[in-house]
Amino acid sequence: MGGFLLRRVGAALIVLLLASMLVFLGIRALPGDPATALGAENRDPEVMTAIRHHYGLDQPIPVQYVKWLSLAVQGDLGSDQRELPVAHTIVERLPTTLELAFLSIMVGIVIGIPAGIIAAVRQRKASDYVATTGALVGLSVPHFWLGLMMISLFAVNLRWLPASGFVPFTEDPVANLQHMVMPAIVLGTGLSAVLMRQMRSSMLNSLGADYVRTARAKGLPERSVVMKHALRNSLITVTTIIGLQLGALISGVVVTESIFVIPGFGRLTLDAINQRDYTLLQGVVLVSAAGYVFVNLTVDVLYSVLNPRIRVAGTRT
Amino acid sequence: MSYVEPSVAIELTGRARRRRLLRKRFLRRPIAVIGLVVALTFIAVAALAPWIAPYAPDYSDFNQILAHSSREHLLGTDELGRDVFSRIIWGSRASIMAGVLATMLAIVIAVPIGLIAGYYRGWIDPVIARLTDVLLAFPFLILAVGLAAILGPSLRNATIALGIAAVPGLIRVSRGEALSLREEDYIRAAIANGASDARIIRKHVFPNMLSTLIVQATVIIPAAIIGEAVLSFLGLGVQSPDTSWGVMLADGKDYLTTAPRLCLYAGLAIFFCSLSFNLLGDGLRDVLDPRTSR
Repeated sequence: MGGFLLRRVGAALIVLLLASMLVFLGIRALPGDPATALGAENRDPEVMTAIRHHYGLDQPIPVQYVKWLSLAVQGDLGSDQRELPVAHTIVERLPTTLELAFLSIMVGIVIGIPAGIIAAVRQRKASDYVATTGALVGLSVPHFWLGLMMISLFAVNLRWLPASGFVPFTEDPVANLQHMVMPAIVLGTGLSAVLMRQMRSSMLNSLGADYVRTARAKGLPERSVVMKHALRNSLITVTTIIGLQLGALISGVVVTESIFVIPGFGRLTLDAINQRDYTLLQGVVLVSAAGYVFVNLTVDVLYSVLNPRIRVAGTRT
Repeated sequence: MSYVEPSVAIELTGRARRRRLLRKRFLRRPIAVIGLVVALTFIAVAALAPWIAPYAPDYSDFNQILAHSSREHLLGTDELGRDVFSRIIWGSRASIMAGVLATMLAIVIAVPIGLIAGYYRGWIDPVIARLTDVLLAFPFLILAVGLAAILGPSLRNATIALGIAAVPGLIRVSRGEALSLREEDYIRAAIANGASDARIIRKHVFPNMLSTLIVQATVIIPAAIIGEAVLSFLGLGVQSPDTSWGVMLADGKDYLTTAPRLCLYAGLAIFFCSLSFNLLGDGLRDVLDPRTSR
């Protein structure tokens, strides 16, 4: 187990290191000179040189990279255009997005997993077709459009929920949840469609397996066969799917937060792009890549704990 | 030529028979057929837009601003008096172009890389696998948004960005396919017969990957269609006054209180377009899945 863990962590660190290089080079490839953005209206060549020198932009790219990375691992991601520390801004915005992500995953699980189980148990019956069709619709709907339609229906017409904005949970939990309901449903339904399909196919696999037949032959009630034997093995696969779906969730957060005007991490990403704030964008993309790699590492390790066959087999191809 | 192709004639008739069988299996799935018909309709509408659309996409009728649907304007008009129905027809061009071309771009880049990694293995495979992992560390849309920001906002650049963003996932799939196909007996037989690598890849590995690639394409196309809409909605794709479904949503969102139908129609167009490709993809997966087709 120790060797396995070490290997996985090592691979994740290498991926992260290469990703940081890619982020750094990618930001350098953006059109426009960061010095011009920083200098605002001032186009005086002397001022430009001073700005370049101040931000170290006159040094070779590898030197800039090493400098940036060594500060980044210490938690210093530099300052943005408004001279605010990027790391601080990110830490400030992150909890909002994490709450949204958590609620969305909950919505996804609550809808997707039971729907998948029912569809598998009642294969080729009406409830299976309803669930499968629902999942297809959930996969095909553009979620930012779903958000717009929900605002139009629940906020504008019915006036049940606020259209946009955000209230911190610590200030007013009820208002906070009222603002989070629609975004969480928008993001969660997409996830639930994926989970439902995965759950269904994995349950169908389990229900056809020998150990389920054994359990049935022992005379166990169908309910306990499904819930205890088949479900437990299917959940392993579904855990990994939730991890892999995090990428889609991060992408979804960017658009959803922009529609519902939520001051979270996704909104920050868009603002950084629109304002051509290179330092901020660099930090935001690095943090999202790091988060994604970390979650996938956790899922990988968790998976091997739940399923010893992977661990024994060692490297996966 | 030292390489003898075994039983060419039998293989050909076998292939023809398999094709007929697949067609029969596909036609027995009404939902997949509907998906195919609707997807083809969207493609035809995009191709024939200048002849089908009642109005030019930028034609403004200032006497009819935010008008409801009527005989003249089937789906009403927008805030500039432009015909919504015509704009949806014209907008399909951006979506279909982004969807199909981005997918083709991704296949052209990713499949050779995946094939080389999976077939040759050696030192090149872990290098490509790690690089793919690195690219996969960036979620699809984040990668596309970032690339679109680097390339500058336009439909062409959005298409390139979406295509490149789909590359890492596709490399992984084609590499996996090549890895497992390489172990098949018929490939070993071809190697034993002295066939060159290029010939084996062209004649044996690639044709057997096709069904997987077709299914993958039907997954990437709707993702790219929605991706184009998202990029245009965020101002990183098609620019107003040019039209696309994403642009229509971006323009319409300011009129959500007074004219929600503007957003409704454009979104429904995206939904039905991506649904049709998803239905087609599901049907093809069932038909082409080697575990059920033998």
